[in-house]
Amino acid sequence: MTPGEFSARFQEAWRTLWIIAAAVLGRRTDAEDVLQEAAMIGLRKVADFQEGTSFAAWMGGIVRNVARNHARKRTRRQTADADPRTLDLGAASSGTAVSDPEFDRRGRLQPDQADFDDHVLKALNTLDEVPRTCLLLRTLRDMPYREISQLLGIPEGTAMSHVHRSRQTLRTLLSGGANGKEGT
Amino acid sequence: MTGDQSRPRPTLDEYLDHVVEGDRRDQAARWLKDDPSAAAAADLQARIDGSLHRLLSPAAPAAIPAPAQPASFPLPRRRIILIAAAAAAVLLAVSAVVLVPFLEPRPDRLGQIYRAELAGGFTPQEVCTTPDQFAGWLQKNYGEPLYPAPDQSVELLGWSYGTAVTSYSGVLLTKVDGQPVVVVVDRAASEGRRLPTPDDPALNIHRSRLGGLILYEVTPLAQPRVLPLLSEQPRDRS
Repeated sequence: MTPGEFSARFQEAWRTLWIIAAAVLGRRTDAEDVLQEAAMIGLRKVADFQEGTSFAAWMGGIVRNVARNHARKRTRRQTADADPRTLDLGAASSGTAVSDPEFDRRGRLQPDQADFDDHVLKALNTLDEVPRTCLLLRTLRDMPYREISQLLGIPEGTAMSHVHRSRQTLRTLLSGGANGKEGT
Repeated sequence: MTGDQSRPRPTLDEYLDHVVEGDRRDQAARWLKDDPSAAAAADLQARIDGSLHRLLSPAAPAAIPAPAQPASFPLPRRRIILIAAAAAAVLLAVSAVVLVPFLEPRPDRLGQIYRAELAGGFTPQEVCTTPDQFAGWLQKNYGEPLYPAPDQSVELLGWSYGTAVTSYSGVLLTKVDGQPVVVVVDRAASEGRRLPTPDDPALNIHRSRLGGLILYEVTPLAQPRVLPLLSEQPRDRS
């Protein structure tokens, strides 16, 4: 595969890979950085890619590893910052804090919607990495379970089960009481 | 044998997965109508999905320029390092292009979105081809619908997301007389200042505000063709 072909395939898989990165990180911040770093690694290892197999699945594996490293580094950096509200702020929109006092005045979201989004992110981060990835690929890409299965190297039924259980978990956490911050 | 009556009704997850069709979907719809707790769960799931779309949908793909040297054969380690360093510099620049919009307005944000969608094949993340789907998407994501008047020269394709007014502005992909045209949508209250005209002379921007939404039509055409079709009230279809 030439670098030009790599670039084209990477662009084609960009959104799927971005979601994998965000799912592993549990937030959108740093997802672009992860993809850039993964692209470099993929380019370096392009000879390892087997034609006829899924490029997105191959790159997805690299993206997951890079994202895990980023997540570990972030955890080390933020061990002193144990306030979950603070930790989640970056997740909302690349540093645009949902709960920023200016947020309401600037009207970026309705106050109750911003609060709900904040809870959604917290609930999402209670899920394990693979179920979270399955859920986001299904919800954001409307990806068939067969493709999720191929992408993540898990059985199709497992992918479906992860999505269904993850939805149920989020509904339970957001329907009141479970995280102690509901009632918006 | 159709046998829908004898089959168990679809589960909520089957309904949410859109894997039930025809009579079984009607059956599920009746069930949700008759069962308030199931309806509440479906509504809550729709709200959660809307949040996930708003918060975690990827921006348009960034360009990954190819290095000059082919890599289809084993390369000397030093050359790999040089290529990697050159690519890293290019990718850092691309990264800056992607990330800077989060920090301050960029002069050609709308042009970038248009070009990125074209480079990505002009394929929406969420297919939306009917006025009802269009209104429903806006309702779900921004809390208020807009209704497009039918126009045979305007083809709705669907929605993507991009960094424009906010980092998760909606990007409607359409074709007008067969030409790609995008409309960037966000809450008007989020518009700190107007986004300027793209530096690409082949593109024009037309801005409009409807209700609480701000819309930018980015088009190679001289006149806006999509914005005039939109209204806050449903059109009489009779």
